[in-house]
Amino acid sequence: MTYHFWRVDSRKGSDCRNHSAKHVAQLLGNALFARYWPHTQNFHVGPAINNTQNAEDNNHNRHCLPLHNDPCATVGALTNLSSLAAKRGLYGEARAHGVEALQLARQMGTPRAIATQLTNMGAFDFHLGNYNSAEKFLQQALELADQHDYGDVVVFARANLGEIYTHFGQYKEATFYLEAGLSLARQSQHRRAEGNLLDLLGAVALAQGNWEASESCFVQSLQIARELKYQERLGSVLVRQGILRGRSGGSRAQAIAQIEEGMTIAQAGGNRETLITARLGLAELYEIDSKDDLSDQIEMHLNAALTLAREISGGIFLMRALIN
Amino acid sequence: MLADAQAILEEAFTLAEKTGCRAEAALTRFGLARLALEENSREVAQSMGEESHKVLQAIGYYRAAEVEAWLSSTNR
Repeated sequence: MTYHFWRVDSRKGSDCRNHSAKHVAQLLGNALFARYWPHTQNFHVGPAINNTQNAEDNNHNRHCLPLHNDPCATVGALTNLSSLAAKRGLYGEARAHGVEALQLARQMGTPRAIATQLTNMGAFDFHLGNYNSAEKFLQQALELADQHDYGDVVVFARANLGEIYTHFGQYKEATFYLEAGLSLARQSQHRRAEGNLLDLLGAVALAQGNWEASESCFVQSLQIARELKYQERLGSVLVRQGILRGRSGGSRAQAIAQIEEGMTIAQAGGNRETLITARLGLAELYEIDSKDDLSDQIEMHLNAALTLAREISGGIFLMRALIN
Repeated sequence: MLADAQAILEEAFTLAEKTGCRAEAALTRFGLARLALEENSREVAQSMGEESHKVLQAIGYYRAAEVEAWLSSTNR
């Protein structure tokens, strides 16, 4: 499962002409903020953080908020706060900051800021399991981004919508949005987004039992992840490709080894969603492999997946863990 | 044990319905159908299995065939 989240990118629009990312970062004196602003990018959920640096960043952002009468800087600070909360898995808190940022962006009347915040709201609701609400936010973001030709926002809104429609079991719609996003990502040479979209398309094909199409997408996504040294995606694709190979009759031992490799990467990056998928995948493959009594291992993986799923949200992962 | 499994699947089903995740809702129904069969409620099992199969087939989920095979085996 992936998660696409946006940070405000002031370089690409005219919303914050007087406040470059660097300037806002200087105002806030926040190294993390400065590091994140230069790129709009999607990212996976990070680990539960007991990290002093992030705690300090968070406090700093919170502290700076009332000092600014500058709505643009405030939107930036709120966006940063929400992203820090999301990295801790605190999506409710992230959403609360997002609501405020969206409200302010609407008051500013700047389409890019609004489209970006709508995309973020879609991502938060997605993680909270509020898929209908997420869909509405993302459709609004897509419409606005299309109108103003914000190609980067369009790509990620399409990716997120594709993922939501996958969860709804609307595979045609999912494929439509993901392929449209992929085409745009390729045109704009956004390799990271291309890799993400290929992974998501592979997952749609996997759900439909189209093993060859799924394999082709995963192979391409894996190549991009390795090329970019994009560990989060690498872990995710290795796990999904391992599941695919186990399901489609490939070597069970190799499939399990591949899932375990992806799981190790996910563990190192604190990507709990990939960890859940990996554990469920391992349990599934052990169950198919009924030559030996693997019930202890199956139970261990299922229990671990359920515990993790209960920790992160009430959405799709909990459901999957419960079903298994 | 069966009661535990049933409670877990019902929790999953509620979540799936709430979030509109059709494949998961159908898979949960399939799980409940198998439980019903273990409890000798053949009619309930059949009915739940059919509902599950209908949805999985409609959306094109890869496990539709597995549910269909299970339905055939319970009919014997």
